[in-house]
Order: sequence, then structure tokens, then C-alpha cells
Amino acid sequence: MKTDQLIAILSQDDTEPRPIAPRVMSRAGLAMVILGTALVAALGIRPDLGQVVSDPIVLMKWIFPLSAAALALNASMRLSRPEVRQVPAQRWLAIIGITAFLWLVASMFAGAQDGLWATMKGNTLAACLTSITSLALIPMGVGMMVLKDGASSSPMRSGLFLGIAAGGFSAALYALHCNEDSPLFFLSWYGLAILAVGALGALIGRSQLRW
Amino acid sequence: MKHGGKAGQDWSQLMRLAIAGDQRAYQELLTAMTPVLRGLIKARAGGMDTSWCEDVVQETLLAIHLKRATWDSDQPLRPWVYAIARHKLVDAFRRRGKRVHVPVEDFTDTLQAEPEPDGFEKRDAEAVIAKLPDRDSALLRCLAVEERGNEECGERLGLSAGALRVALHRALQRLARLRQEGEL
Repeated sequence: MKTDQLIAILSQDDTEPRPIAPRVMSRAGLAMVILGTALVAALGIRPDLGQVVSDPIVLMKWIFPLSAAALALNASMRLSRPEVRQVPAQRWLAIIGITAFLWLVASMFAGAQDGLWATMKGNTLAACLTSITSLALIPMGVGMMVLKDGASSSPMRSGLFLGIAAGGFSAALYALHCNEDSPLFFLSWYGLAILAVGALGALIGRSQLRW
Repeated sequence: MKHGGKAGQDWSQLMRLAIAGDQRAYQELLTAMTPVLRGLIKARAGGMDTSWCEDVVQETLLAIHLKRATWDSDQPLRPWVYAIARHKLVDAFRRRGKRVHVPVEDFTDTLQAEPEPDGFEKRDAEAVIAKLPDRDSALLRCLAVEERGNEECGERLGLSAGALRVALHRALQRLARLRQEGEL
């Protein structure tokens, strides 16, 4: 095909370009709200929610996942533009991750060593991991479909951040039900679940967000 | 020569018009970009031949078209265009099994190519188009190879104006996907 011919065809295609970020947020957000509501309705909200939110430690069950999710979403959306290679949100996200990790390590040393694993695994480890990861999957997939219209210079990172965002919001919703309030529990398993969804997002992104 | 700041603004302005639906502004923009892209790509192609470079130019134009929603219209257009050209060049090298490092900064200066005759493409129109589904290839063949107008092509393929727009957009997306996967 001659380049002139290509240009002639391209200029005839006047399909209106549709911005990426608003569509990711509205569609994936809608999926998250619907599925999250269904999950929380099925599992039930913890009855003592009103009292525990005044405890700053318990409050971290929302603050950590929500701030990680918001930063990761911001990073993923910004990275959908080809000229963007680094975004400030990445650094903040790393700081949150490191803080959570250090807190986890400190809690491990502070607690009674013999009961450590028992506290860590709590009573609902399996439910926690499966709920958070499975709630995240569909919203992440929906977001990924829209993000395919983007032009990321780093498809893997775009997918990773979208996954972390989906995992973070899922964890915050699951926290409405979950009554395991030990930092050993929620830092470990919320963190692991979010990272697992992030890893899956990175894998999907690497193959699906190439352009 | 008239480039740098002023031409950059012109490009941004043309793109704004194009996004608002001005097809002539769009064609003018793409035509103005092409020699600049040729220059940029040729200078960084490490001695690859002209037809290879022209393929990268075409892939860049196709990506500029399909990804134009990713341009932030408050920002100048040039850095966005160069980022796409760089991406497509790296991608083309990768498909040839060559890993190259193309520094980002390297893509910020403007280097106008000498006007060059078009038509060094190694894949002729038929070979590119034949890999697409029948309807897509019939449409692109009609528009590009036979250079018939929208209306005539729509009539021939039994497509209304609206359906033709959708079909054309989808055909271009598939074309980009095929080329990106290196099947062409």
C-alpha cells in the first residue's frame, strides 16, 4: 500500500476517538460496584462496623487498599498515553507497599512468637483470599478491554497497575465483611491477594495491551 | 524551514480540527507529518532499507490514527507523535529479532527528511489487504487501490454511510493488529 493511499483511507475514517480513562473508570467501576454489592450482600456486613471504624488500626484495612488502588488506577490511566513513561503515583504506590511490608515485619517481631502463625492465618484465610481475588477479576477484565484502546509504553506495568487497582478496591469492599482485625492477618492476606491480582494483570497486560 | 515551535503548534491545531471531524485538516496533518516521520525513522533505522523504513512510517501513521484518543489535547502533539514513532520503530526491530536501544531523548529533535518519492513499500497493496477478512479487504481495496469515493464503495458493498464508517474503522483496527503481530 502506498503511504498516500493509506493517508487517504485514514482521513476518511472519522470515527470519533473515545477517551480511555473515563471509560475504564465508569465500566470497571460499575462492574466493581455491582459485584462488590452482591458479594457483601451475600457475606453480610460485619455487625460491629460502626464501632471498629474509630480504631485507627482497623481503619488501616481500608486506608491501605484504597490508597493503593487509587494510586495504581491513576498510574495505569496516565500510562495509557504513549509519551508517558514514569508517573509520580508509582513512587507513592511503592512507598505504601514498603510501609505495609515494614509494618507486617514489625508486627511479626512484636507478637508472641509461638502463636504467630495462628494469629496470621486467623479463621478465614481461604475465604479472604478467594473473595478478594475473584471479586477483582471481572472489573479488571472489563478495564483491560477498554485499556486495549490505549497506547502504553509499558503494557506490563499498565496491566500490573490495573490489577493492583482492582485488587485494592476489592480488598476494601471485602473489609466491610471481614472481622479479622490483626495487622498480621490483613497486611499479609489483603496484600497477597492484591499482589496476586496485580501479577495476573501484568501477565494479561503484557500480551493484550501491546499495540 | 518552518518547524519546531511554530509547526508544532500547527500540528496540534490541525489535530484538534481533525478530532472535531475536519477530514481535510486531518489529511493535511498526516501529509505534513509523513516526511518528518520518514526523516526520524530513517535516521534511526540503522541502515535498514527504504522499504522497511516506509513500513514503519505506515505503521506509525496507522497507530497515530487509531490511538489519537490517547493524545491530551492540552499538550503539544509532537512529543506524542514521536513517542508513537519510537514505539513502532522499536517494535519493528523486535519483530526482526533485533534488540535495539533507541534513547527517548533521541526522538525529541526534529529532523526533516528530504522529500522522497513515495512508493518504496515492499508489500504491495494486494498482499497487505488480502490477509484481511473478505469484506474488509473489499472495502480497503475499493477505497485505497481503486481510489473510489466513500459513496461508490458503500453502494458496491451494500453499506450505508454509517455502516461504512464502522466497517472502515474496524478494518483499520484489524489491519493494525495483523501488522503488529507480524503476520504481514
